[in-house]
Amino acid sequence: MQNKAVHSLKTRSSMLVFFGMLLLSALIVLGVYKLTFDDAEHDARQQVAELVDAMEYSAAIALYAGDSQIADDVVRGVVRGSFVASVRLANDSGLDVKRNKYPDYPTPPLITRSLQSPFDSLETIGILEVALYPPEIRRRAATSAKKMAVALGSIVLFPTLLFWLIISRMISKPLLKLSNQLSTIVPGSEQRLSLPVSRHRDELSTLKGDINALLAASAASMRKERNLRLHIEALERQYEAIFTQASTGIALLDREGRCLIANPAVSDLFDDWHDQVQSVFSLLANWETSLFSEPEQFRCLLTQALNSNNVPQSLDLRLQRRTEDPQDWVHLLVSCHPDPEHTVVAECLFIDVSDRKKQEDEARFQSHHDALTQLLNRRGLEARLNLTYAARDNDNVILLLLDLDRFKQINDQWGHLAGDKVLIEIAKRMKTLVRGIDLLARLGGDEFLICIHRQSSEQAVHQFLIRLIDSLSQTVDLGDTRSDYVGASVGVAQYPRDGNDLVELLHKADAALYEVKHNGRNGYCIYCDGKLAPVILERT
Amino acid sequence: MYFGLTVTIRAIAIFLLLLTILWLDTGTAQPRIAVIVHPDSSFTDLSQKQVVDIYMGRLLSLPNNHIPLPLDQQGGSPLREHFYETLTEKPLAQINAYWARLMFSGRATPPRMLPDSFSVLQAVSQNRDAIGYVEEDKVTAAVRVLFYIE
Repeated sequence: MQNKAVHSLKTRSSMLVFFGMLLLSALIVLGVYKLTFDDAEHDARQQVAELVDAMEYSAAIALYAGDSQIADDVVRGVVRGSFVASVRLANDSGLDVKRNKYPDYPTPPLITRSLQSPFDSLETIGILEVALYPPEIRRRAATSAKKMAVALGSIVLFPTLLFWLIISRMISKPLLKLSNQLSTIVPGSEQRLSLPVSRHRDELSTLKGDINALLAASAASMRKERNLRLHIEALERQYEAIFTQASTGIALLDREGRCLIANPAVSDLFDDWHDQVQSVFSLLANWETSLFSEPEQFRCLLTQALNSNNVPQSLDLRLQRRTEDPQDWVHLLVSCHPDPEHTVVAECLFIDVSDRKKQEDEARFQSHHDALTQLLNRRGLEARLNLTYAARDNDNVILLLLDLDRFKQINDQWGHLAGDKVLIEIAKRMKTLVRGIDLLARLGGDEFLICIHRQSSEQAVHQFLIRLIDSLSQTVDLGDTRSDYVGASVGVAQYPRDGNDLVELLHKADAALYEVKHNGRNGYCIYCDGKLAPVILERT
Repeated sequence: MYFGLTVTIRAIAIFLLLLTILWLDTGTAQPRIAVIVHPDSSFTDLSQKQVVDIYMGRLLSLPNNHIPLPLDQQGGSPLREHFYETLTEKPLAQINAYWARLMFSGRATPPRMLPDSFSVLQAVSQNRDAIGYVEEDKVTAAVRVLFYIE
């Protein structure tokens, strides 16, 4: 508070005025003091001269008549003067009257008056010598100078006080009021400074008007900015919603494939690998190793996208899962920006295509398999049987073309449902007899094909055929306590001995099968260089 | 017009009359004053200034050790007034004040006053150190005239 008072405008300006006036008056006082001093001796001399004038006639009489009594009166009268140190009245005739008020004071300035005869102004009859007393002169001068200084000081003080009051009333108080008002005003609000009612506009009200205009302008600007910000925030929310709620995964990558930002849909893809997700919106380094079952495919795709200028690259990638089934797939779309300065170089879109893949797989399965027995159909067989691989591996492939006996009778006797049951049962039995790498196909009706790889010896083939026919000709339970049986006729051809393609091999096997059927069914025949030796088996 | 002319003529007449009176006054009313001493007086060559000093009490003795005895006329006589005024060029009142001041200190006394010029002539003729003054036309052979005052 003390400090504030000292630094206030009114105090500072008043101090300035005060000190300025003080300096001025000090100069004036000094000047006056000096002048007073300079004039003091002159004034004293004049005063003494007047005193001497008054006494001159008496002095002249005293000297003329040689009257020491009168002379003494005169000297006593003159010496009574304030500035007079000593007086001497003397003539040539031996009269010499002297009085000294300050005998200790050395070499005082003298006023010497020669006196004329009262009856003859041309005759000088003696002298009146008056010595001045400078200390008294100085004392008088100092006193009057002091009085003047005090007077000037009061003259200085009064305008300063007046100035202080005026400044306080006209400037300081209104400014403080203005400051208080300003401090209560919230920026951007509708609050304004109160303007004086009178139309007389001074600087302060002009200032207030300007401040109000500024407040209004800033409020308008702030409103505008706020609206703009709200608009931008709304847009941001929309974008964020799009980003966070999109079912499509979106990720921004740098040149090395590091993830800069990813939306929750990407994180969701990780499924079992949530520890790989750093946060919802970013992924750890080498995230692709955890996400894809073949990460190198992704890296390849990214490289392609980086190299192909701004042309998006896409690929279906299988996600890495702890369980094989169901398989999850994403369609990955990578587009790169041409700007090399930009940290974000690649945008990745992850589209979940698991269902589509599943449907595709199912469609493929259905087109390659027999719906009833779930065995391969003819097309499936052709797709799976790759003789070229077998040839390269120097492998033998044995084709068993199998036709059921009595299937027509079962259909006719028990109906098609029973026939289907028989087919399903037969397929099941065949599956138990072959290994995983062997192929089982239903070519149509009651015709099946078994492809066996690497059957080592002829003997083993015979044993397998016997076991197969024996197994198939066992009784089939048809439900409702009904049962029946079928037989199996098998024609065998061997790759590459009997042919180089499926058609030729099937033709050879069919020829062998015909031999079996022709010779009594329920047996097998191996096509061997055109020599057909059917083996007919008894049903056990 | 008639009245104005009369006044003017009257004023001129009065003015001329006054001039005549003044001329008669200066020419005839002031006779010369003779300063006289004893015929055998030792101070025969006194100056006018010395006479003043003697009468004003300053010159109390002369170089030949004679003490002069100044004699004054009766106070208030025109002769006395004329004498002092001519000799000191001061009004008589100031001379009286001068004496009053000196008498107050008690050291000096003014010249002795005699009733008329006859007494003065008689006193001067009987005292060798006396000095006096009389009208010019009253001077007798029993005294010696030092000088005349105009």
